Amino acid sequence: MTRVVRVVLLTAIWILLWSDPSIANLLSGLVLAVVVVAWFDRRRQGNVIIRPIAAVKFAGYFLYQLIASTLVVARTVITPRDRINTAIVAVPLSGCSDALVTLIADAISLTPGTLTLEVRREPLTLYVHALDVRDINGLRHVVRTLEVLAVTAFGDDDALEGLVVDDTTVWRGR
Amino acid sequence: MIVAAALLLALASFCFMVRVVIGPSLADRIIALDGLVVTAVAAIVVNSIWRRTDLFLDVALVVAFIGFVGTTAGARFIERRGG
Amino acid sequence: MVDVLVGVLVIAGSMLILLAGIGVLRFADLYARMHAATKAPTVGIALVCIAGAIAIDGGTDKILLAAAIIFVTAPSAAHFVGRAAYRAEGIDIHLDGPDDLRELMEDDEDAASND
Repeated sequence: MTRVVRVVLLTAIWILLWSDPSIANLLSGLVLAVVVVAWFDRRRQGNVIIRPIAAVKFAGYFLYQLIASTLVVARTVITPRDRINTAIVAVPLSGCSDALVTLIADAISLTPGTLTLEVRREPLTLYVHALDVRDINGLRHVVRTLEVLAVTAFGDDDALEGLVVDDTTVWRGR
Repeated sequence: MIVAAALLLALASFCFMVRVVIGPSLADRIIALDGLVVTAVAAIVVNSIWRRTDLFLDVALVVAFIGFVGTTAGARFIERRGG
Repeated sequence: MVDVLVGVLVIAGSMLILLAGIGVLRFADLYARMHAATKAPTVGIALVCIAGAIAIDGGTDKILLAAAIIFVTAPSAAHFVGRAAYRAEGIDIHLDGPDDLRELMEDDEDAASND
């Protein structure tokens, strides 16, 4: 199932690049996509499932955070000194696949004043650089919300179970 | 309005270029160059809107790709040699 | 009407990119500059590309593809540079608050020297 989605996506990008949906382009795109997916499929771990309603929720929250982030950073550019209070904060995640961690890390890099610097497994932790860190709990809350939304939207059953078990008790409390 | 936007982009690329020149570290120069690439893509799209043509859009696409590859290569370089 | 919409989108996008440029120029340390250089221009280019998709006939697909590429790659590129800069010596990183990563890096160095 995941493979079919990937082949369709790659073929769509191929046709967009040619910007001409002819039969020849469709066929050559399909052949290339199948080869690429078969070639890179060997390293894949975890299944990506798409739950449409949860995916829309994730996209909505992400877009809201993106716009808020842009306004915050724009305001900080105009009035720098009093709003910059930088730090690197460790944020624990519950267990999920590499693809999900990538998605969450990318989303964090685009939310207000946060930037993922480092990812560690065991325990799964993101190291996030924050522009204004006076509200550490607020920052953790944003990351946690993004994680819950991403896992309920795209996670497989293992990731969902991990989400229920995991709580802020995993946090080592530095 | 299109001309005003082009002016804003020119100012932006000037800011990025000053940062590329004054540094101080290699990482600063790389992120400034990355910003310059994004500005270039925006400028190509604005130019296309102004001239009402889709001729340059392939260029925008390729520049966007190359910008990412260049930034990544720069990051690898810092990791090996130091900033 | 459409022209006005396109103009407003283009101006807003260019304004965001200019703000990013000013931020990169004004901010005092590397990571603050990276915050300015990764977020605002991504939204700015998205706005400019939406305007382009409305205004240019026949180029909608390519413009949206270019916007999608920048959207997907910008955070990854920022992550690469940030990660490399933290490891590199000779880059001045100024932090006001706690630094959870320093401890981890020192643990790594201890593990490496014990081998």
